[in-house]
Amino acid sequence: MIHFDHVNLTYENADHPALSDCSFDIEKGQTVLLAGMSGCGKSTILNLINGLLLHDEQTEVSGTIQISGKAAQDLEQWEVADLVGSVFQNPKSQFFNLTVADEIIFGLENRGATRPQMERALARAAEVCGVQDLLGRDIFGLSGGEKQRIACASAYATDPDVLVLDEPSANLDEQSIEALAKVLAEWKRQGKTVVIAEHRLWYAIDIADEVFYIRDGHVERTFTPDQLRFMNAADRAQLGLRQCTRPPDIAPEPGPVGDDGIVAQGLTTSNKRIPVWQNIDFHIPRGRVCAITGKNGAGKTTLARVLCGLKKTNTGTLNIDGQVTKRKQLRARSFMVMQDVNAQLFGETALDEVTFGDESLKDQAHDALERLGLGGYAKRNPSTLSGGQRQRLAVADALVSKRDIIVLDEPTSGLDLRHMQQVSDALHQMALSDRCVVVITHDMEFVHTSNALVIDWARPIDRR
Amino acid sequence: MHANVMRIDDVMDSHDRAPERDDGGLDPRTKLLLTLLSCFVVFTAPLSSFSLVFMGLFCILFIIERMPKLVFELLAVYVGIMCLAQFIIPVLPAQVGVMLAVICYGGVIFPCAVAAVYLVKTTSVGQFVAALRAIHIPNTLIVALTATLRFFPAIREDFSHVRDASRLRKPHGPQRRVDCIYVPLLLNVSSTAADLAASVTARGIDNPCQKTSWHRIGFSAGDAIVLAVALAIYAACIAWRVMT
Amino acid sequence: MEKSISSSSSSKKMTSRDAVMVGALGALIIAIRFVFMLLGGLSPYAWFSSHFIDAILIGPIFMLIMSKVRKPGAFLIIAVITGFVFLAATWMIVATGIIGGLLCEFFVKRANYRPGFLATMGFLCFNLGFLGDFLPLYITRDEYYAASMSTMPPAYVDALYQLVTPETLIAIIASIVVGSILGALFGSRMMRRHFN
Repeated sequence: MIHFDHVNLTYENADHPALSDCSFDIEKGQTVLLAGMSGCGKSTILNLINGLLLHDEQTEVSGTIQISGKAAQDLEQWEVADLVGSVFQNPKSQFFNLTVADEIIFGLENRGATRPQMERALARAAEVCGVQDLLGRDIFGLSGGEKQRIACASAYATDPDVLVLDEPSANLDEQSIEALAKVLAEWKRQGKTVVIAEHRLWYAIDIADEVFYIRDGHVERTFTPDQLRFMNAADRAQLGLRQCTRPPDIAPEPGPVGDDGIVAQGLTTSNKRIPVWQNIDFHIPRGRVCAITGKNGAGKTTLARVLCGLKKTNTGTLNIDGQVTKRKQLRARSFMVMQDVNAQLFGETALDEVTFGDESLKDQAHDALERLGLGGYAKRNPSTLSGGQRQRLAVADALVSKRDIIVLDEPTSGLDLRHMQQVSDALHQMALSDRCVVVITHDMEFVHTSNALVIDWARPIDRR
Repeated sequence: MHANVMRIDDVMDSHDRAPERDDGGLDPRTKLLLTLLSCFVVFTAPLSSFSLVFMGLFCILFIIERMPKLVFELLAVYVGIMCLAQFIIPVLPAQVGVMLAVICYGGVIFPCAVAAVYLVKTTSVGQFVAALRAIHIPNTLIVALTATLRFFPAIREDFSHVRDASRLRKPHGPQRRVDCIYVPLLLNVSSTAADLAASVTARGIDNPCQKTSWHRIGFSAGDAIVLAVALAIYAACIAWRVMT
Repeated sequence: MEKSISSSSSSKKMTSRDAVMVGALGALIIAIRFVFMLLGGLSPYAWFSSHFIDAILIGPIFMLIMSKVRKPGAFLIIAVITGFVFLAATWMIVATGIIGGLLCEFFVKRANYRPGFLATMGFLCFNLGFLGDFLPLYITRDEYYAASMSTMPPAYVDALYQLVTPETLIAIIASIVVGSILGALFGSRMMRRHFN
């Protein structure tokens, strides 16, 4: 079905090829998982399969690529789109229309399908991808997991033979990932050929028939799912892969009794008169990495904003080290790494971003960049960095800032094992310097790796 | 005490949210024509009874679409502006009165605003795109227009994130302050646009065939009647101008 | 390091991929114009100077569009969409927008899509294309003031008459010229420092 033969690809202005001598075969009906470290070439392979890189005059491609028996380089991009459907990583930036139904049949409109064909395809896609109850809704109001399933439905609706997914779980919580896995299982049952690139292997490995380990732009090894599952942790870490079994949930614990750090009592807040959460208490101690987990949509980001003094609470108090703290003081003392780091980067170079113009912080800044794997990028402009690199840059920002309270909102979405560990180490360093470190996350593996204290923010503190 | 953790429903005021109306209602092309006609009428005979009659036509249309509350709000604004013009400005000193002149001007072009509100509130983006395709507007322009409409709520959200970040970072100096807002905003929008471009390309938007639409549009008796009335008003308007 | 697909295609004509970028950044331009048009409702002086501020603020966005979409049509499209969004003000915006957009395309193509004198001229034409929102004031001036002469005090009508004159129109155009030059400088500086 998909045949790559000695494919080489070099991006414009790149000093080394992204793909070198990449060859593989994927049979019809197979589900193949592409695993590998960041930058190994997984996305490049997917973007060749769906044709996005084939007619880019700025990249040089050589070798043979065949999809469904046809030579891909001879086809127009939209002809490849007929054969291959795509789902990308970011739920927010994939949808073009404003309503769910419009989005799902978008591909069919582009091919000039008739209305009866559209109706049939919509019904089928909605059923297979589990989004029947979302029809008729506005896309902007949906959660990340729902948006991703709509993206799946949209890719599936044109009935392609092949479906490629580029890290679709990166921004999803555990529950949404399970729903996504169901969709993939259904596609497999229908005989679709599915190629999926992932860092969070645990859900994909159950559905995959084969795993390709990509390194330096070619398929270095292939594994069966069992081989990866039963590999010992050390070998797996050598390959740079994250865990292959579902990370167990950690029950939140009430924070240790005490007054240090942040103590919240009776907080209530609302969004346009709709209450978000009511009467919550928690304690975030200093010196430890603390995690706030929970389903997406439960109000975690709102909590982050309250902690930084960006959002008002209707009732309750927030004390730092025993003293009542007002919003303005909170803002002066806190730093937030946002979910969308693009909103907070504005330095001319990575170094400038981290030092924020303060020359005395230069050495610290270099150190922080090294710790997060960005040592060689100090002089680069942030807009030229990849998404994962920008995330780590924002963490470096937090490390160097002299602020007391550090709040991070999903800092590890889409990071591979090594980079996740770097972020974890950076957080530990922050905690060691006696700061309050709060991580909002649904990445359970990260919570385990960083040995974070999962804060219970739904129950009152047990005051003995 | 048990905490109530509720689900946030992002209430985004989507500029073009409208009920899915494929049955009944006017064809979007008619609504476009009406908007154009309203501008012509205002241009030919500002502040005349013709403008008022035209506005009355839209009020009737709104009521047919079951939106009486909107009619009430629009009329309230109009009456407010007229009161300002008739009763308040004459008693103010001339220079102060001139400050409010723009609001009075708003009263002059009010029928056009009503027409535009009608178009926006009763047409979904999908229906509108179907209408544009029917009049053979080039696909590139339609894609750009859809992208613009899709980005309005996204920009609002991005801007609030950027402002949050700026409030925390507290940049010093005019250069940094400007950069702090501008650069992330541009970066965010162009980043999302690049992702979006990939997503639509992967779904075959460059297919050269004639694109079809999920939404059904078409002319009916209602369109003919409304257009006839509107044209009659415009014709009367021109006749009046010519005769005076 | 992951690289992403280039956001613009390499053919000479605009494709849908480019159109998305044009639409997205165009939305930013329209949002800015809209905000300042609303602020302009406070007083005629505010309205008349809103174009000046628009021109300065839109500079970086203009330069970014020019650098990302190096082919004809981007600004004409944005001018048409702007005209359409502001149709409620008057249909003249569409007409002046198209003229301004076409002139802008001419200059920007001659400039080979790089910042400089020709690009600034293009930017100026682009901004002048938005002048359509004032024109009805001037063209319907006589009817409007004839109609209000009866109900309004003469001092008010006279003061208004003095505002809407050819002189003020020239002043507005001059402010747009200055604003466009400043905006182009502001924009190309930001491109140099942050988007290279």
